[in-house]
Amino acid sequence: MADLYILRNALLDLARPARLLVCGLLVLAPAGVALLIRGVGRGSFDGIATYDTLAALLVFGFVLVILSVVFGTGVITREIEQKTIVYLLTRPIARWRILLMKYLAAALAVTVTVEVSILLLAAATTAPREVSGALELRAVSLRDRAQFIKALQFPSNSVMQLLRDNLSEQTLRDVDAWDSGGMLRRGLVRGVLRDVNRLITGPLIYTEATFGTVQLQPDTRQLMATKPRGAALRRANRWLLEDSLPDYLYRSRTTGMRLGRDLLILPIGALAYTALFLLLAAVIRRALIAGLVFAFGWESWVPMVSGKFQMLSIMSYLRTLAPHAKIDAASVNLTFLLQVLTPEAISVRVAWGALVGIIVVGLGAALLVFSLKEYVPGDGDG
Amino acid sequence: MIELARASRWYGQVIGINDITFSVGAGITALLGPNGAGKSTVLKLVTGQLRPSSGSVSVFGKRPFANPGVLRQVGYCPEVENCYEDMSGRAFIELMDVLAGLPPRGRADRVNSSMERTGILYAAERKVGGYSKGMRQRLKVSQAILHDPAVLILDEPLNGLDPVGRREMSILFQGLAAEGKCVVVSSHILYEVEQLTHSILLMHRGRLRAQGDIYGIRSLIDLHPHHVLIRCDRPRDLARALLAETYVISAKVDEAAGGSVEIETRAPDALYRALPDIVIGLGVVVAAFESPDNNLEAVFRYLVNE
Repeated sequence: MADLYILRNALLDLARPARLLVCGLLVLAPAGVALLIRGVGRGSFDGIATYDTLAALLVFGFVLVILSVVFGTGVITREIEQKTIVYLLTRPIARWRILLMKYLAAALAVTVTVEVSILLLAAATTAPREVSGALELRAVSLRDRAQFIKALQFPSNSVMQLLRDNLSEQTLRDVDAWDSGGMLRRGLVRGVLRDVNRLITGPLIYTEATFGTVQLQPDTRQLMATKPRGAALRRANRWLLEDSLPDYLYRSRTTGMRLGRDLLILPIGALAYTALFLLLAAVIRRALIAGLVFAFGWESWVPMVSGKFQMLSIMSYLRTLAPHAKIDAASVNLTFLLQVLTPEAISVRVAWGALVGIIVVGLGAALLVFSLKEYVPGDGDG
Repeated sequence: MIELARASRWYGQVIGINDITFSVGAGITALLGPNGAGKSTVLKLVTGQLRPSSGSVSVFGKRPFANPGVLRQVGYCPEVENCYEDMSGRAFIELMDVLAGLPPRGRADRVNSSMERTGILYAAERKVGGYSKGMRQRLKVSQAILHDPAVLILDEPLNGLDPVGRREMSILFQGLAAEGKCVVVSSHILYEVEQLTHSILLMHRGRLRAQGDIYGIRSLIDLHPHHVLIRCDRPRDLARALLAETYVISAKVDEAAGGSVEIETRAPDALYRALPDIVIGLGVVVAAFESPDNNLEAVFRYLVNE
């Protein structure tokens, strides 16, 4: 009961008008930028690419981190600066209980803010022409039907050759017989789609020879690594084709699919970062400054370093669990921002283990230090 | 109830207190000493905020540092004025009640009772940010007595209170002591504490210089002029009236910043007794009343032969 009261009180303290205003601005910023890009891009707006870019850079890389630093360190430093910590330390209650409740309040505040932020971003980037998450190709999955058939007539890459090789005899005859200047028969397109879908619903189409030169999206790689079966296998095949033929196929990956995953991972990030910054505040006095340096120095460049070194960054683990694709320079001119947002060296299992470990060890250490350390405001001595 | 045995505490290279031994039981004990004497360090050691660098500190035979079992029996009124400014007085005392581990049942009664005893109940719904210094003192004492502790540690609890407030608080502390509680009051003003108790601990520069009865110290301090600062609307009139009294040596008027008069006297008791009648007789409005009392430092220099 006392714990709930402390939690409620800590939440009320976090909900002061000045903080609400800052949180409100942070919540709106990613969606605002998305709407700006959408307005500038007009016809070439790519909803998923924009979502990926802004989710990685602004929601994960900025809003989550800055709020965790401010709220995580503020749990202790605010009490010290206000000199109110004396009221917490001289009451007959275990110190760790107070800190645990305040930590949960801070992590909850961060979580709510980033979740709302990413929901608004998703709403702002949902593209009207986006294809649903269906696994099989339909006519609307093709960007330009005539161009697609023409490409099948004269395959320019190994993947298109794969499609051509798997067309039935009848379809192949129809494709080759089509005069690119003439009308496109509905039956021809239907036949092509039927044959390509047969490929999608079959075994994994990936071979090094066919897809070795294709730059696959991180979620495609991740899905293949799970040795997919059933629907997951069909999804893997479809994504392989989409990654290989972006000029011909719309993406079946919807913002909604990304969103569900991000909504799950963001609270984990909030718990991990808040625990880390809580520990920092428990140990050192100028925790806010140190936290900001860590957040926007260390956490910005370490995930970009290749190899095992990136395992020293929380952001690397978050990016493993919630990868956001590189964007196409033709659709949005922000490529330079996303040079290396794709973690290579960390497996999903390691990422989960590391994040849970950081939460447990970071929080445990913070509670222990807070229980044993002296926190006396520098008020001179009478 | 409280025992320090050869307790020392350093802050890095700086000595907070040095080799202090004393024990305190039921009743009021004044911890007296000029600013920087180490009084607050002693109180922080007793309330479990600090650990001794050497020696031992115990309350009811147990170490108090971060020890809820001990702190359940200790009420602490800190010197700092800071509080949770956005909270109402009632919300703050309720939070303190929760942190004391007391059950929700009866919380409202406990909160009302403690605020009523310190005379701050009338402002319970107002935000602490709008409290005056005196109101904050009353609020801090409220949270200290809230859980009915056997030991009360009060760090400069009379600071910022007007004469009426000081008297009310003194009566409260004496009542608590009469209930058998151990009340430790720190102060740098001798006249303030001698109305409370005759049992004192004298500290100077981190050391315990004397302990026991107040009268020996009292005779020493009377040798030194005592300063009293009164902030009021007509300082010149008040100064004129006070200079007519034989025990007033001098009066310095400052009409800037609202107006004040600083009185120098060798008989502060007589001044404190006569002052209310003089103020009422003149119809002067007194805004604040302070004793910028540096003469205690002189007494300590005398005691240590400096």
